[in-house]
Amino acid sequence: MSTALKAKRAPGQVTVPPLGLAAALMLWGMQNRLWPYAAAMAIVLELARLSPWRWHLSDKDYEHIADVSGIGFVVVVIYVFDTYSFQGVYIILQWLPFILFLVALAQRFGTRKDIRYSALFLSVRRAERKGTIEDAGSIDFDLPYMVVCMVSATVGESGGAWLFAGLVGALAYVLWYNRPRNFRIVVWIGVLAFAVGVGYLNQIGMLKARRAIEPVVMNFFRDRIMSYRNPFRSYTAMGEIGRLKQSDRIVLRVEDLDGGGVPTLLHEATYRSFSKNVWLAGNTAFQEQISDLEGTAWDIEPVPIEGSRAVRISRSLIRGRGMLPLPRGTFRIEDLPVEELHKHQLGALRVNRGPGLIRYTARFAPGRSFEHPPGPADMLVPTDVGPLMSRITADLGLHGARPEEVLKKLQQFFLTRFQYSVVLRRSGPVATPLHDFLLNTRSGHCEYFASATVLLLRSLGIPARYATGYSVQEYSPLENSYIVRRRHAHSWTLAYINGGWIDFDTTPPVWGALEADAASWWEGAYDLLSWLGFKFSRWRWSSDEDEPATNLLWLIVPLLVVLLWRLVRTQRVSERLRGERRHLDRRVQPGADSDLYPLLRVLEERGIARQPGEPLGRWLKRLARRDDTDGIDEIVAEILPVHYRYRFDPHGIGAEEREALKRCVRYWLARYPQ
Amino acid sequence: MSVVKPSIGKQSPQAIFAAIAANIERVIRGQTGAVRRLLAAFASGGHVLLEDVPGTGKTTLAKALAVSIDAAFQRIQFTPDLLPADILGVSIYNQKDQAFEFHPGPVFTNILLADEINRASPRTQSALLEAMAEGQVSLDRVRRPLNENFFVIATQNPIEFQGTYPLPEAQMDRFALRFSLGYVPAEEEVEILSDQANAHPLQSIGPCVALDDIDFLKQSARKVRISEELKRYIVDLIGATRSAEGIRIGASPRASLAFMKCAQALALFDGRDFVIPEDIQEIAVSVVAHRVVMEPQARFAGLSAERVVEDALKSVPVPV
Repeated sequence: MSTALKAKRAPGQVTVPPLGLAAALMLWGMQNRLWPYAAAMAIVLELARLSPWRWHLSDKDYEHIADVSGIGFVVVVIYVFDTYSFQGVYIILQWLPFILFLVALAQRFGTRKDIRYSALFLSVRRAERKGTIEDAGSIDFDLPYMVVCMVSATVGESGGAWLFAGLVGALAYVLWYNRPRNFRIVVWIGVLAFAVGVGYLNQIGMLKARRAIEPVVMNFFRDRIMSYRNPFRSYTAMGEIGRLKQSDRIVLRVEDLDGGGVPTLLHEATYRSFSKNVWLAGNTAFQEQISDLEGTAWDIEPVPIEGSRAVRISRSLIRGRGMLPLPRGTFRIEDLPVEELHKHQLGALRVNRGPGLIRYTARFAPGRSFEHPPGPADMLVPTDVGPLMSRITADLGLHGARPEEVLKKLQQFFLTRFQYSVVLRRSGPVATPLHDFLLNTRSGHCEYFASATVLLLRSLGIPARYATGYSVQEYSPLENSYIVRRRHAHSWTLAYINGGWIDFDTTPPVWGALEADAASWWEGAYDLLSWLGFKFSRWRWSSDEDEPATNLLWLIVPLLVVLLWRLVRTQRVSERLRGERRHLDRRVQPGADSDLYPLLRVLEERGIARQPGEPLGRWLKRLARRDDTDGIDEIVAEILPVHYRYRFDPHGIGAEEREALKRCVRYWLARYPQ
Repeated sequence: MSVVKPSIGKQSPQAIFAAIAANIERVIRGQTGAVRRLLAAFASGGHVLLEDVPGTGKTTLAKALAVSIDAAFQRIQFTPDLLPADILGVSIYNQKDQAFEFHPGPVFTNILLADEINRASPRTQSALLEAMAEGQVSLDRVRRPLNENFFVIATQNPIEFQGTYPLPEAQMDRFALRFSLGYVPAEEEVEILSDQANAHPLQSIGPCVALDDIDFLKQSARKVRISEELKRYIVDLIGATRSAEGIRIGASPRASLAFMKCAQALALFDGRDFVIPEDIQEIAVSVVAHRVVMEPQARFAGLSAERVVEDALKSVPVPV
C-alpha cells in the first residue's frame, strides 16, 4: 500500500506549500543565471509530491548524504577561497542550493518526512551515540532549504526590483499557506503590506549605505595589502652582497598572435626618483579605467592605430590582483575579465578582482609610447651620486652630444667595460653601491645597469625613468610559445628622446644566457609540470568566467558516484532480502483482495500515514483519536475482525461473510467522501 | 465470535484465562499486561524470567498464579552457597532398608519460583536450567521426569552486581519470556495500600480452575491457527534482530518457536482461533529482547536490546 502523501501539520509549525520550493529555486536560478539547473532541481523536488515512489533510507544513509553535502561544501569553500579570495563568500552563497540539494532530495524522496538533527550535525550525532542526548529530534528540511534558496537568490546580479518582488511573493505564499485561520484575511493582508513596506525602505537604506561605505573600505585595504609588484616603490638589491636568488618559476606565457614576433621587453611599472637604492614612483595616483559593455576589453588610449600588433599574455593572479606586463605602446587590452583595471600615471596597469588565471590580448603600436611627458622629477640626480655621474659623462665625452649619440656610446660603454653578474660583491668602503659598480667592480645585475643609465642620462639633461618588467627571451617548444620565468624579471631605462619615451636596455645581452646556466637541473621536469598546471588552469578558467559553477560540477561528480554506489548497495541488500521473501510472496497471499483496502486508502489520504510496522488495529485507533474522522471505532469493531479473519485465518471466511464485508465497506466509503 | 467449541462441563479457553487473570488481579493490581504475558508463557509451556527491582510484586505474582490453579508451588531463594542438590533432590542412604532413598527437591512441583536466580553459582543455575529445558532430572543415573505442568518463574534483580552471577546467554534462551512488572500508577498503588490494610489479599483468594482446565488451555493454544504469512513475519522480525547494528548474536530459531507459541496463546486469550499481527507485536519485546546479545560498544552507546526489537517492529513491514 502506498504511504500517505500529506503529512499532518502540527500547530505552530510552518510548512512549505506545494510548489513553494520550486518558486524559491526558480527565483534563485533567474537571479544567478543558473535557471536550467534550478528548473531541473525544482522539477525533481516537486515530483516527490506527485509520485508515491520513496527510497528506503536508514538513519545511516541520511548521515552519509549529509556528509557528502558537507564534504561538497568544504571542497567548494576551499576551491572558491583559493581562486576568489574573500570575494568567494558570494560565490559560496550562490552555490549553496546546489550543495544542500542532496539533503533536500533525501527528505523529499526518503521514507522519513524530515531530517534528523543527528544527520546534519556531527556534534549531535556524537552526543546521541554517547547517550548524552536521547533523541535530538528532527527538522523539516524544506523550509531551511527554501530560505537558503532565497538568500542565495539575493547574491545574484540581475534586477533588484524583480528580486524584491520575487522574494516578497515567495514569502507571502508560504505565509498565506500557514496563516493563522482565526484572523480575518484583511488583517493578514494589512500586516503583510506593512512588513513589505518597512522591508522595502530598509533595503533602499542599506543599499545607499553600502554604496557609500564600500569604496572607502575597499580603498583602505587595497592600499595596505600588496602582494604583487609595488607600483609605487621598487627596492633594488644594489649594495647587497651574495648571490641573487633566482627562481625558474614560469610566470608568464607570451604568444605571438600576428607573426610579427614578440616584444623583447614587457613593461610592468615605471619609477622616477632614486634615493638610497630605492626607486620611487613619486606622488602619483592610480586612475580607474572603464571597460566596454562585456567587461573584457579595455581601451587604455583612445587611439586605434594603424599597423598595430598583438600578443597574448597569460599570467596567474594571486587573489585576483596583479600588475599587467605589457609591451610598450599598448593601447588596448582584450579578453581581460577582471572587475577593475587601474592605470598609473606613469603607465603601469593594475587589475583587481580577477580570476585565478588571465589570458589577455595586448594590442600595441611598436615604437609608440603613451606615458606622460617628462617633468622635473625625471631630471633629478641625487646629490650623493651627482658628481660621479658628471665625472663619467665627462670621461666619455658625452656632453653636448646628440641624444642618439649618447645612447649609442652608453650602450657601448656598458657592453665593453662591464660584466653581468648575479654574484653581488663589494670592493671596499665606497660612497654608494653605484660608485662601487661604476668605478671598481664593474660587474652587477640589471638593477645596477638600469639605475646607472638613468642617472647618467639625467646628468646629461635627457629625461629618463627606471622601468621594471620582464624580458622575453625563452621559447618553449613544448608549449609552442614564449615563456617568461621569474628570473627573467628585468629592469631597464626609459629615455625621452625626440618627444617620445623609448626602452633603453644597457644590460649586456649575455645576462639571459648566464642566468640560464645557473638554472637548476630539474628545470625541464618543472617546466612540464608547470605546463600541465597551466593547461589545467586554462581548462578550469576556460569555459567562461561568468559560469565557473559548471566547472565545479565536475568536482562533484566523484562524490555523487560514491553516494550513488552506497545507495545502490543498500538497495541491493534490501533487494536481496526481498528476493528471499519473494518465493513466498509470489503466491497470492490469502485475502489480498480484501474489500477493506479501498477504505483504508481513503482513510490514509485523510491525513495520518500508517507506518510500515504499524498493524491496522493500532493505526485505526490512532486515526480514531482525531476529531475529523468519526466512525473509526465502528470500523475497528465490525469490519476489522472480519478482514483479519479473511486475511490471517488459514480457514478463511464464507461467502456470506465476504458479502457482508463488502456491504459494510461500501457503506463507509459512501460516508467518507473522497 | 466463538472459538474452540466448549466441550460439556468445560469452560472455554478464553473463560479459563479470564478466570485466572481476574483471580490474580485481585492480588496484583495494575498489571494486566504482565498477567497476560505470564499466562501466555504458561499456556504455551514456556518459562518466565521476571527482571525487576525489589518490591514490585514478582513473588506475589508467582504465588497468586499457583494459588489460582490449585497447583503445587515451591519457592527457592537462590543464594551463592546453594547447591544443585538443594534444587534437584538428594539420595540418602537409608540404614533401615539398606538402600539409597531419593528425596526429591523443590524442582518436583508444578510452579517453581526461583527467586533471585542470578545469586546462585553457575553450577546451580545450570542444574535448574537443564531441568527446565528437558522436563526431567537425571540423578544417580536415573531419569526422573518432572511434572506435566512444570512452570518456572525466575526473578532477578537487574541493578545489583555485587555477588551475582549473570545468567549466560545460552541459559537466557531457555526462558520463553522476560519482562518486568514496573511501578504501577499512583492510584493503583493507593489501592494496594488499602487492600493490604487488614490482611494480604493472597490469603483471600483460592483456586478458580482445575489442573485439567490448564491442560485444556494448553491444548487449545496449540490448535490456534497461524497463517504462513504471519509465520514469515515472525521469522522476518527475528531475522531483523540478527542483522541489526550493534548486535553480536541475534535471536535463535528457538526464539521464533516461543514467539509463535506465545502469539497463539494471546490469540486464544482474546477469543480468536487464529493469530493476527497485533498478537505478534504485543509479545515481541518480551520474547526476543533477552535473547539478543549486544556488542559492548553498542551497549555503552546506550542502545538496548529492547530498542533493537522495537526498531525491528517499526521497520519490518507488517502484513495488513
